[in-house]
Amino acid sequence: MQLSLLLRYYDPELAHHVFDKLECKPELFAISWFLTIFAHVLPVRKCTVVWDFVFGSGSPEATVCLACAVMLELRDSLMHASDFPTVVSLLSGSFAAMDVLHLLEEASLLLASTPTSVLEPALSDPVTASLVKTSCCCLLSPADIAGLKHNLDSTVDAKVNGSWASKGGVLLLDIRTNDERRRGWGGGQNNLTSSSASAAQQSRNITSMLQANKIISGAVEVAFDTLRGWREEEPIGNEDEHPDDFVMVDAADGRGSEDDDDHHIHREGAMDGEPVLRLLGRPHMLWYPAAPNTNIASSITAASSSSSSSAAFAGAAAISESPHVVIITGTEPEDGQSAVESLQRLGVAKVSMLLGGIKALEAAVPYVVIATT
Amino acid sequence: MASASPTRAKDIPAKIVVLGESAVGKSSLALRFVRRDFIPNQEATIGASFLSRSVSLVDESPPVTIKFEIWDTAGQERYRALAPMYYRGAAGALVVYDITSADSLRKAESWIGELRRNADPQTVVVLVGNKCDLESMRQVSIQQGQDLAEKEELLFYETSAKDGTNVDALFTNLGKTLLSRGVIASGVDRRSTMSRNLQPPGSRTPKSEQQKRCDC
Repeated sequence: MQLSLLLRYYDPELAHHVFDKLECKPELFAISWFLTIFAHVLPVRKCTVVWDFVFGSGSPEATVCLACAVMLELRDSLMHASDFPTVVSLLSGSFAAMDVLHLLEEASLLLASTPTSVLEPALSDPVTASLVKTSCCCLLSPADIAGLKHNLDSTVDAKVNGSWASKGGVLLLDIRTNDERRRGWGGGQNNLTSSSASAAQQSRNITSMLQANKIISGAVEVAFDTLRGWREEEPIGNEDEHPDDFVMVDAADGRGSEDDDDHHIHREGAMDGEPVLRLLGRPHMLWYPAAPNTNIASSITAASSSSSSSAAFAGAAAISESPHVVIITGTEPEDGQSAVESLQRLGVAKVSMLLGGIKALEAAVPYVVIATT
Repeated sequence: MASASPTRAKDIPAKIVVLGESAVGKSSLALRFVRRDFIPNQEATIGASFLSRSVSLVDESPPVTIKFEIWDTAGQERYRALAPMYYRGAAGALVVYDITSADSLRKAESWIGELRRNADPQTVVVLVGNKCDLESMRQVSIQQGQDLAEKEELLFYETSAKDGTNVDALFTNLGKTLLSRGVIASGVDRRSTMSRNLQPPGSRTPKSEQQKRCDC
């Protein structure tokens, strides 16, 4: 389970192919990896090096990171495998030829750069545990979002394909209803306490929006406050920082959001998304809505369908360019699950849920949250 | 090997799980079948290993090729909890015991019970008495094995992974049985076949298989 979460985090497309499409779960092929810390599959010489790494790292997660590195290493062959037996024989038969030192290097990168919520999910928390069990998506805590700052600074994530700090940035997708949003943002109430009725409503909303291929009818707030805040937070005012990796998107249902749109845009100086992004020199993000009324859903779908339709793995680049979508739900995280699944069905590869809701995010990373009411 | 029958698009996959007490020869049996090889000091399996081999059944009409996808499980007790993962959705299950160990037959009985309770009712179960080359050390008679197989309505074979006795015959016959019972079918997705056959549970009780005895 931990391995599947980790791989889903770093390479959702590979994880989907192996774990979901070919139904090749880690429990089927990785048991001996973990039970013997790779002693069963590696020749003794290589094994001693691996054990040095595992015990030397002092981290119980070292083994799972190494397992993930192995799968990432075999990515191309795994993606080309079209049936279960091929995958299993690839995963069990490729060790002799592998460059262990290279693998260990990759594994220590993973170990250093993975958010805590992904690497060590808080299984004592029943909600987290149930979500981890389904392992449909990763869960990120506000602290992880805050940690992105470090990840952006380091060279670590640049090396790891598909990591959440990938070039696509992070897209915070707010799927709460207007009602929930008002309570969550303005009223000071804990936004995790909404009734189940509104949860059902919300899940209906998101589903119908997705089905109509209009996920997000609200405005794109390229949050100037946010960007400024980010700069202020940065002690060394490095010009090369990438404050634009956070983009807040309002996904409230269409009816109520119009006023809000105008409100935001005017308040923030009526600047469209595209020029802003261009200004920031991040051309890969241009497929965010070019104008406030542009439908971001179609952009996401277009980007993802173009990659998924092309044979096997030609679209990998497009996927790694796509943003990591972090869903903010107004209720219990379980209710966001349907939204996650809908997004995944639409082909959005990297989806996570924000643990603890917007209030917690605001507390941990105040500069990415701006008030809308 | 593969016949040019127009109805056969490709090999028919058949998921087979091998269960039984540790050291009865599950891995050796699988390796004998897949690689036609025998390693005297086969190391203990960890978790499970996966092997596959395609076999053409030329006397079927039309001739078919079955691709046996074999999950060779670990016999040690501590891996027992993993077993359901491997026998879930299996078309066939080999429950192996060692003819030189009466204990291993009792363990086989408990595996049969577990399969009856938890596995797909369509799963074809074969009782396999392995190590039949060790006649002098025999603790389980052929009759005992046959009685158990008859009682539980299973296919039954005594095999030797060491000298290859009955190993191919076992798999060939298993393949034929899977086809005749419709557990696997050519040209149809295996899973949909399985679920279709699950609709009338127990409607085709494996009563007719008792004549297929071991002749070793």
